[in-house]
Amino acid sequence: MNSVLSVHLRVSLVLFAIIMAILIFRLISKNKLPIKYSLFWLVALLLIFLVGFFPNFIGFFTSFVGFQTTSNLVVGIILGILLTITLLLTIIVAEQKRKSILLIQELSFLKAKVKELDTKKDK
Amino acid sequence: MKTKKQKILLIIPAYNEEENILNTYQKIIEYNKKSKTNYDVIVINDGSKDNTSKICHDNNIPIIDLIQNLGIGGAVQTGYKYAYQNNYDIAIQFDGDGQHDIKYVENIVKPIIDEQADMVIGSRFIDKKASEFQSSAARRIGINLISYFIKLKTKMKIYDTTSGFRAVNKRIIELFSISYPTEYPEPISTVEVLKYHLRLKEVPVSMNERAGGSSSIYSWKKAYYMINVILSILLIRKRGK
Repeated sequence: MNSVLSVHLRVSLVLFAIIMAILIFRLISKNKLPIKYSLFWLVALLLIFLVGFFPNFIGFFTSFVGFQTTSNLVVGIILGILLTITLLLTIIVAEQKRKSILLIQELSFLKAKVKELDTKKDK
Repeated sequence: MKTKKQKILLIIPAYNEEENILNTYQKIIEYNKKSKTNYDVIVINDGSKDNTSKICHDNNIPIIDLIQNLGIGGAVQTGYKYAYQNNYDIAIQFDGDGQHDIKYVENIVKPIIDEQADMVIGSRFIDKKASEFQSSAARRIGINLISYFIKLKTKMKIYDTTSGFRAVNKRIIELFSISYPTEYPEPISTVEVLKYHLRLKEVPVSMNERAGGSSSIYSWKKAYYMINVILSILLIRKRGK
């Protein structure tokens, strides 16, 4: 059967998904990647894997979404995944910033207090 | 005088202000002696790279040294937290660079003491005669534009939207110590106060041109600043308690 994706691209997608998945599982087992953040990656990779394995399934969407070729749709999907991951990262960064501001303020208060107590003791 | 009963704190955020900080502090102390007021001072050193911290410590100026630079919002909030922890009735944001004149603090504080306002902004534009220094034309256009969008969002006309010379009462000290905008704090915090249906008042003040150092808003960042501020104002929602 004629596929909407070239065999080369399909093999590349499937291999890429498998290699990345192995990498992510190893990172999880080494405690370098929390499950919380890895799940999104694994779902994204599963999607890429499925696209490579059953290209006819997404071939249906190609013209529906307005792409000329299915391979462009694949690039589009990956771009969408990347943008979503970047958005999540931005949210995480903002949250981290909020927390470090709080830490810096509280630690600075403590240091000022300690200094004050020290000078009192010296007198 | 009623003023004596209230605990009043001047929050002075300072970033590389070695040229001005001592002078600013001495003026406050002189003023306190002269007019028998009792304004306390806390300098928030926002990770200055110069001798701001050393000058303060050598001269026994009350100071909190932030261990990292937080930017104006984070620094000022540290001051509000200090005011909250130390049970101050009124906190005033006061610039360390000589732009603000201590003699106007009385006017700024008065509506709060008289319980006519929860927050008072020292404004350069209410009474044009009051302030010789009106800042540059470009800056004024920016301030007016922000003013327009604040009106659009809150139905209230605030003239000097970027003025950092402002006083708040106990209620707002608490609000600000819990949550204070880190980006573009002056206009954004103004809108938030209005959204809480707290009473805001502007009183005329005169400001001096900066004695030294440079303003925290760089010229090449101005357009970016404006777009950001306007977007933030339009997107602000009343925060849940």
